[in-house]
Amino acid sequence: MKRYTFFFALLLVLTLPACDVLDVAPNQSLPTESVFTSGNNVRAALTGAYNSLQGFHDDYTIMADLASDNAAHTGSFPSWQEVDNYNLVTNNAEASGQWAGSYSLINIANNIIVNGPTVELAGDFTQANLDNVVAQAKVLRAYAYHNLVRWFGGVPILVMPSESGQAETYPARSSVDEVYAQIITDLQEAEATLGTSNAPAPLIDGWVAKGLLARVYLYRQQWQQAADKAQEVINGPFQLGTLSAQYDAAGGTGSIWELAYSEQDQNAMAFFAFPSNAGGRYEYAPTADILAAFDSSDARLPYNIAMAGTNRVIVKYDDPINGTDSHYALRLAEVMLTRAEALIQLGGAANLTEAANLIDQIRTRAGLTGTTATTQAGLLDAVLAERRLELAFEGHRWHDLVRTGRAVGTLSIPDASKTLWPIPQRDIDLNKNLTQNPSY
Amino acid sequence: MRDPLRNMLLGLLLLLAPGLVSAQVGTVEGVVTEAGTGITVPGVNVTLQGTNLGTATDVDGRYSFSAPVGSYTLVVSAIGYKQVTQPVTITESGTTTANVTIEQDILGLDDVVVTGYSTTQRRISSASISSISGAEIRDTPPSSPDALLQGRVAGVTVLRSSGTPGGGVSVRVRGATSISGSNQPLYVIDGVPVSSDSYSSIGAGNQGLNALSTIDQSDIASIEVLKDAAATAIYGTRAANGVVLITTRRGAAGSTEIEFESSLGSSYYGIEYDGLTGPEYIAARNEGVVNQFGPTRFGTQFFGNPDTMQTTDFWDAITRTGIVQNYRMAISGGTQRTRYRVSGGYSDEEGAIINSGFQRLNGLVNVDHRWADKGTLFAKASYNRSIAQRIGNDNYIYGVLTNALLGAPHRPIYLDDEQTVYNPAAGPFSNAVAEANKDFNAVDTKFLGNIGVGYEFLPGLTGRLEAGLDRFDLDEQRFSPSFTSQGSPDGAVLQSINLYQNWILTSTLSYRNLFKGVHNLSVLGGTSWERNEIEFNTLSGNSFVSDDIYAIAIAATKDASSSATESGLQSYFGTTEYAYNNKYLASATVRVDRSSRFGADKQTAFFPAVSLGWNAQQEPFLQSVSWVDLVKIRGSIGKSGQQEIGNFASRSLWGSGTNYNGVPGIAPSQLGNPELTWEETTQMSAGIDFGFFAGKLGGTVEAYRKDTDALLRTQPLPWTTGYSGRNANLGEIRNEGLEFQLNTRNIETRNFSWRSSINLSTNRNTVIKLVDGDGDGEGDPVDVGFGQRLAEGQPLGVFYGWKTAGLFQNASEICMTQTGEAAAARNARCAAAGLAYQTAGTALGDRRFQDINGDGVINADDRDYLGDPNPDFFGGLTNTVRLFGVEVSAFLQFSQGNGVYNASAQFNQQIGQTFGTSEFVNNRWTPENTNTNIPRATNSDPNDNDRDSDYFVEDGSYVRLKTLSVSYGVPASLTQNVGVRNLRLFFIGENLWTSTKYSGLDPEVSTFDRSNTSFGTDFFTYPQATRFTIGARVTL
Repeated sequence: MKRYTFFFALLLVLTLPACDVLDVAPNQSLPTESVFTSGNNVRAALTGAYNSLQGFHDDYTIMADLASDNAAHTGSFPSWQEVDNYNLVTNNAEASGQWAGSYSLINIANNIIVNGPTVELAGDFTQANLDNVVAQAKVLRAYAYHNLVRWFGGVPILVMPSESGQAETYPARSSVDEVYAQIITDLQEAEATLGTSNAPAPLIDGWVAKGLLARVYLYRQQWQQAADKAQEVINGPFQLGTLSAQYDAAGGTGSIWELAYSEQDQNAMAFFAFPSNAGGRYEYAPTADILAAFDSSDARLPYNIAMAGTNRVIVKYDDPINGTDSHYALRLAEVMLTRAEALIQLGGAANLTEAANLIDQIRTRAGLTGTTATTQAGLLDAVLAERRLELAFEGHRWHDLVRTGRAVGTLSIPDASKTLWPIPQRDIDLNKNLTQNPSY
Repeated sequence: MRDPLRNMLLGLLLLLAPGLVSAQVGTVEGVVTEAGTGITVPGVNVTLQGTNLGTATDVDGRYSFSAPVGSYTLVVSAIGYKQVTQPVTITESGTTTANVTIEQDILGLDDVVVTGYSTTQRRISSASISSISGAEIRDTPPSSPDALLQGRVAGVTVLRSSGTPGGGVSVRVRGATSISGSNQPLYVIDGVPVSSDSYSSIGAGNQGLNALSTIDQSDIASIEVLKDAAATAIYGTRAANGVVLITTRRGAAGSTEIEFESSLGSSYYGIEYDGLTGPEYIAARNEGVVNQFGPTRFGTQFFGNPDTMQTTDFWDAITRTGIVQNYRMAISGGTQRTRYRVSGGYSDEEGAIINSGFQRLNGLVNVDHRWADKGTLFAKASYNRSIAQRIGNDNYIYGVLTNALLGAPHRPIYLDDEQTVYNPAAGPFSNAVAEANKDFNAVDTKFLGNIGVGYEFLPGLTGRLEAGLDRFDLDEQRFSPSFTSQGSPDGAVLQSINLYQNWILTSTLSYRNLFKGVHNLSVLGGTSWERNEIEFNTLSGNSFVSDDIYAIAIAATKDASSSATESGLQSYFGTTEYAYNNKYLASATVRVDRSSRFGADKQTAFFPAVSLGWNAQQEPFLQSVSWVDLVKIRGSIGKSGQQEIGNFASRSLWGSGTNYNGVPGIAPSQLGNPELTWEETTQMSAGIDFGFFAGKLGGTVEAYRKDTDALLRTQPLPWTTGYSGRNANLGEIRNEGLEFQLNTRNIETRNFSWRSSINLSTNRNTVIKLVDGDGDGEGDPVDVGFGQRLAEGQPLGVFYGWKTAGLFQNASEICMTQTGEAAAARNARCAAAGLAYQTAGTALGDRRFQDINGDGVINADDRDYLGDPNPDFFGGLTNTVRLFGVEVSAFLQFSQGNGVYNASAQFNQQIGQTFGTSEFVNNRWTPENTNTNIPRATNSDPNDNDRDSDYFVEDGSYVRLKTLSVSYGVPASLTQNVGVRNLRLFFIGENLWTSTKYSGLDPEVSTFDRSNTSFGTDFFTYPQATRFTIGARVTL
């Protein structure tokens, strides 16, 4: 009998170590703890962050034109109607999309910025490579916060990766100044790392950081910094080129940063703009106002608006079937107009002359004669009018009107507090620390 | 007689067969007959107490085996009979005859009951365990074991999702405990947990496959359903929904027995779908246009002249009488040392819908071997292959029944007289007959086996070590030819191959002994390790050169994907059972589970349970009452769990597929919850087992309450986290119920007997707590399915929608907007008049809806609870009558008070519209026909008459003659001459008769298959077919 006892005991002992049945790994996904273990994963996370930005960048662009005098709602989405009419309900889907999308991107960026540096450097994952990835993540984070602060005002600032059971799950709002301070810090740190590096248009490089800094300084009315930073970019490797070189192919000459799309990751810009017989759903269209604002000889007009019968159609993006049009996230023309506007605000004859010259460079490319404005006030109107046309349907108009204090007047908004969107009701309900914007 | 050579030879033999028997042996033999009737009883266990010696009776009730010389106690036992002991003395080389009469025992007190990892005797068990013997389910039509539970076990609700052969079956033991997880019990076959899930990857509507349908019921020796916590706790995190233990048949020592069974029959629908004729349909459609828009430039016949229309009977075109064949063979036998049973079978069922069916080939080998006096070895291997011929079902635009029942009857199926070209317009989405002619098979190849050793170290102390494997490949392939909508224009193939593997290693040490004749104690402890791995592969190919060849290799475009998942479970368990003098009973069980699915901070689950019982009939005051056989009072309390929360639901994960600029990326896909745990059920149960009048009447009454908390739900998180939510344990559900089981032997004579068995159960299910996402302090209701809702205080599946108040018969009942009137003013005016505004298009003959909140307008706020798909009570009634050699058994199954949401009617009663093909359309409201509840014809339903309403909630109560079997045992005197020991002829009918008020095809449906929250909806679900077979069973 002893040998059987022994046999049993042996069997049990033999089977025990072979039985680490609880050690399992998901096949399709990476457990968070194994993401930041290799350079490849860190770079893949950055790609994931760009992908996250793609996810909300259609609306990022469209809503700023739809809410303004550039475009009007012609379709059936109630949420678009509300944006067009400045009377958003607190669970408006577009507001929710910008809010959730921006914070989703911020969370990925936070992961890269905080956890990226914990990854051991090896092979082609050098310190320089790591720093570059982290800097790109900071630019993306700044871009997302700028999106939030423009639509919602002061928002919660989250700079750590989301983890279960953390106090950051229920944050309170920060002030507009605090959010901008965070944005500028991120962009400055990124600029310091990226310097004058030049990457292909779909990717973030030093010029993107500088250009966005110029944009943010303009929003902050830090005219001198805006003018200076813009000048750095103007001195950089970019050329204005022809309109065709800018718009007819991806990675146009004047593009500092273009978000790339392909058949695999499509956007719906042209789909929303084009009529149904051209494969779209004609959800929004240019206003008569902007059509009138274009001089008939303006060479930019055919790049922006076409007529389909009596219907005005936005044609800046023209692939409704495959959705491969790039998004113009940052162009040299915008930076030039940013410098021009900053110089006008700084005043002084030399500044005004240089500003007029910058405006004229833009106008000349469009086949127009130079601006006739000469006074500071006249030039300010001129530069804003030029900005409207040059950057039409690229996601600027509403924010430009709001930051210059012209939105309420120009758009005849009945309630000035409606220039901010409501914080999504869902988050108000879930997070008692969050306060709603006035009038919602 | 001292013959040295013989002795030497004998010695040599003994050396070759060590430990067999001692030198002096004798034989004991006899016949076992049933008391009262005198019928011989096969399959009775005859053993010598205190030894391993014994055998089972053959088909004639005879047994014979040899044993060492001595005096013994012969123990004779069989399921359904009282155990008999009688002394025997075995003499050297002699033959002792011991004929035994055994008494039927419907109380089953001496039955061996299979429990988790062990067995017990019903007499001393204080847990709630229901048993079904193999004999009970033998003369039933081929069915999966889960379907066979229907109506046979109190407290177990079985819902066949549809009549699809090999289709899904939903089983609920004492109610549904989960919203997001599983509500199905754990199935354990011969100690190996097996999957009962569908794993079907190729969508064909909502109906899935049934992994248990590969099992042949004739291989089943018994099914035990563990119901209360005392019985289930030993299965820990998988036991909250009860446990179904299936034990397969094993060989018995004795002569080799060969059994062959063959049956042939048919499958058809005894019901008809009554649709409109072509002229009726077009007339209704024309009327709809006129009612809504007035006469058009086509006059009043927008859709043409009804009188010129032909009629297509789609129901007739897609139904048929299918052939059902079934063949089985089993060989069993063995010696004292080695016993075996080998069986195989083939069944082929053609479904009652064209091109649907189910074929199965199955084989099973069971071997038991005694390798030493105290050591046993057991092994089992089964290999089954089933082919489900599938067709698109239910909620599917390529569904066969869906397209047939919604098909415009004036359109022909074929465009040409030769019937070669399908008419693509003969159906709302696709041509039903064309869709049925896809080549769509799900081939399930399954291996289920286990092997183990046992050794009795000391008397009563036994160790067992066992390994088991459940392994299947599910290969689904669907070819949609070019003439189908799905395959247009050049054919499409979709293939999915899913590989499933679950292995388990179990070791137990048990001790059982009777101390001082009164203390009956058993103790068992054990561990198990289990691992589950599943791999999913999908291939597709589109555009083929012709419909004749469709290998994916030659498709113009191809695609492939694969994924895999795994989980592990490590367990420790112990249980002890104690009975004092068979009078006072107690048991205690503990299980500790560690699962890879749990959160990092909640790795270990602990499930305790205790039970107490009292055999009151053993007390002096009842012993004197002669008509009382049994009064056992028992109760239990304990916990069990449910770990079907997803393999990686607790982990923080980053997923792929987030590409940018042609580069693959990763992004967070799930925020983890280190606190995530199993769903936990606490169950209290109490019951009385009773038996009176010398075994003529016996039964059980039992009550229970199951409280389940920590239900897996999504906890919404602020978007600022970058996530919308995470998995958390947030919900609560309660089930309370009563179970009643009664067995009677009404008449028992040699030539005539009549027995009855009835069970009746009721279960009340209540959702106690849901997630509060909006901070109002109450769980947020969620709309599910069609017209159903998940809401606190309501049962799972409760119907939700508008309440109707007949049709508008007078213009004064309709409140419309006046010119220039604002909505608020209109609503106030309507409310003041006791009316409510519905829509701008409301007119006479439209449905009137109740203004629940009295605000003068009918909108989403006026919805209310409309009924409950859960039955008030349900059960089954079996009557078995035997007259001479003929046995007739009728099994009625019933369900009372279950609502059915007739979503089919919501479509085929769209009066005057495209889908309105039901004969109900003919009874529509017209100024001449006002005494009706069917609204007027319209072209696009401006009043939204078809919205979710109580009109579509019907009483789905039914009584069904589930099985009627007639069998005749040909007397042995006639068969023995040709070497046949037993010949049995039988007729089996299924679903021969149904009584219901339900207006649809079949009240027993669930279009969302095994859904936890939206069962009881009929949406062009295949009704159950009527089947009958005749056959013979021969034993050689």
